[in-house]
Amino acid sequence: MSGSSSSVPRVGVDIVLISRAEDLVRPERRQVLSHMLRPEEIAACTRQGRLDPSAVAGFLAIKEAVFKLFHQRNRPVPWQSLQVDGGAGRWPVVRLDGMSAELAQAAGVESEISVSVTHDGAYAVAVAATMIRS
Amino acid sequence: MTQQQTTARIDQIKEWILAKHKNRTDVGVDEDLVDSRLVDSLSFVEFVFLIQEVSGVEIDMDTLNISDIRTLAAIEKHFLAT
Repeated sequence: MSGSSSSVPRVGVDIVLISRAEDLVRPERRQVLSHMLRPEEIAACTRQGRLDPSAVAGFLAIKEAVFKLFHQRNRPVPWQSLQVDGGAGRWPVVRLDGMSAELAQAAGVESEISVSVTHDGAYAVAVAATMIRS
Repeated sequence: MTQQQTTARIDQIKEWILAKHKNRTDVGVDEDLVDSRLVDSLSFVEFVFLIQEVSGVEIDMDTLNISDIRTLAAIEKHFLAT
């Protein structure tokens, strides 16, 4: 296991029903989705000119899994400052800025955050892992 | 804002919740909307937009304390108080 002797591993996991993402990609819900995904993330979830609910569900699951690393109960998911760089055929990478970076620091995150996502049937599942200062 | 107006606004919020949870017929004023999963992270953004629309108060989601919207009573106190 990597990390210093004063670090402990922490994981976050999340599952998103793809049918809920189908609801979010409807044009009348675009304002809500645009709050949860950055423009470049929406572009990465677009296939042949249409938003792919499965990809959207995966991105949302990754963000929520990462947020769980922060152990915050009274803060909403900082959707915009938690950036997922990924797309079809690429391993997703997470970048934090603004509020997400502050929450990560407060939680004692001291290594890169690794994420993985999978889709099967009606669900997208994501796991995030990092080392936390003990 | 009169108490009647406040009650009407709370009812609007309650109707939104009940529309998403057909198995429910009511929401208690002190019921924890997050712990009971009546509002979860995916519906949270839309829920905050609804409170903004109903109250006319702009809410900064980056600095929002979820305790302020955990219950209908808290929403009334923080966003609909006269």
